[in-house]
Amino acid sequence: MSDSRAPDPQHGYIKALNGDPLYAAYHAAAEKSGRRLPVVIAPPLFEERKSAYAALRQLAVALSAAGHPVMRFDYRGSGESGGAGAARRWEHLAQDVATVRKTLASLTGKRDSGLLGLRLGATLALQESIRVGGECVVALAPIVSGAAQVRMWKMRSKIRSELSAQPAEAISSAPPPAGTLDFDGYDVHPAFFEDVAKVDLLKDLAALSCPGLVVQLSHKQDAAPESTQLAALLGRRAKLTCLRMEPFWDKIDDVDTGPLQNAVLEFIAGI
Amino acid sequence: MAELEEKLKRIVIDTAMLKAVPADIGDDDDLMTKWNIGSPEIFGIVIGLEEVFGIHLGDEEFELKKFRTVKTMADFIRPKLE
Repeated sequence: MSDSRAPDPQHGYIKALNGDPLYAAYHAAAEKSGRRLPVVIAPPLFEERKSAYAALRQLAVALSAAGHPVMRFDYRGSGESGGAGAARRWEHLAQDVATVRKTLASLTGKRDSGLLGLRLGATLALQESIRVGGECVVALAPIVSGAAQVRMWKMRSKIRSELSAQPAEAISSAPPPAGTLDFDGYDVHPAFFEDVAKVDLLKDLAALSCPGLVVQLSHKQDAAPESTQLAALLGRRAKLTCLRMEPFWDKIDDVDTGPLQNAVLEFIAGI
Repeated sequence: MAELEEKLKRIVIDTAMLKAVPADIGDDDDLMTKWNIGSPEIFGIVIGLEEVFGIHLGDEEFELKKFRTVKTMADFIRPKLE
């Protein structure tokens, strides 16, 4: 989707805490009101990152057209960023979110940036917002239980390997480096899945000090108990919205994410 | 239509957001080729089975062939309900 009001994004690299180059795309605000909130978009990981790319880019364009400077990025060891996936742990992903957040605030001359994340990115955005506060947080289909997510990743990997009639360990043509897991062709630190499995937002989170929007995106119109519990934990500043939508981060096909864009724009405009 | 098969079809329809009713899905339909069910939906079906029937499916017992049709799913699930 294009929007004539949104300038083309500028692409570049910023430094992660360990010096790895983080790929970033900066969408300048179309309207120079000087008041609109900058927004960092934290993506998912692995195949979900690829499948969600277009939808998150469209969201960035829509926010930019509405006057919000936006920065998209890839975590170290993923996408266009440098660094090794095999060296990456959960804490590094959190550091990358914090780095990009500070960079965007600095670039726009604002005190802080809002955070918007999808799936694993939403989980990181919530954790970061609890940790340091901030302007606002939007969590799209956050991973609430890391253990359930790891189970899903592994099960889907098994399905993919069965569909391609290859054993799971033979997905990649070259053997992974020693001390590295090969997960569907991605090099992964052996302890990374343990890191993710420890995540339990229903135990880890406290009330937000900034406005928050949790968006449940699923085939269900009604809120799942997990979503309701999460929103309640985040306190009175959090709002829960349920959108009946195919999980676009799981799909190759195009999914109409217009209703999601509208929900996000409406929330951020109200801050 | 047997009760178990009907419930399974409802789980498939809900998970994959199919524009269908249970009677549209044949017990022997290949869900992947006829109903375009892919790996994300299969995982959703697993979660749906666990929620609806109150069972737990171990990762080690997961095989794609068990989720290929409603009949194979029913054959897999039925012993767990007894």
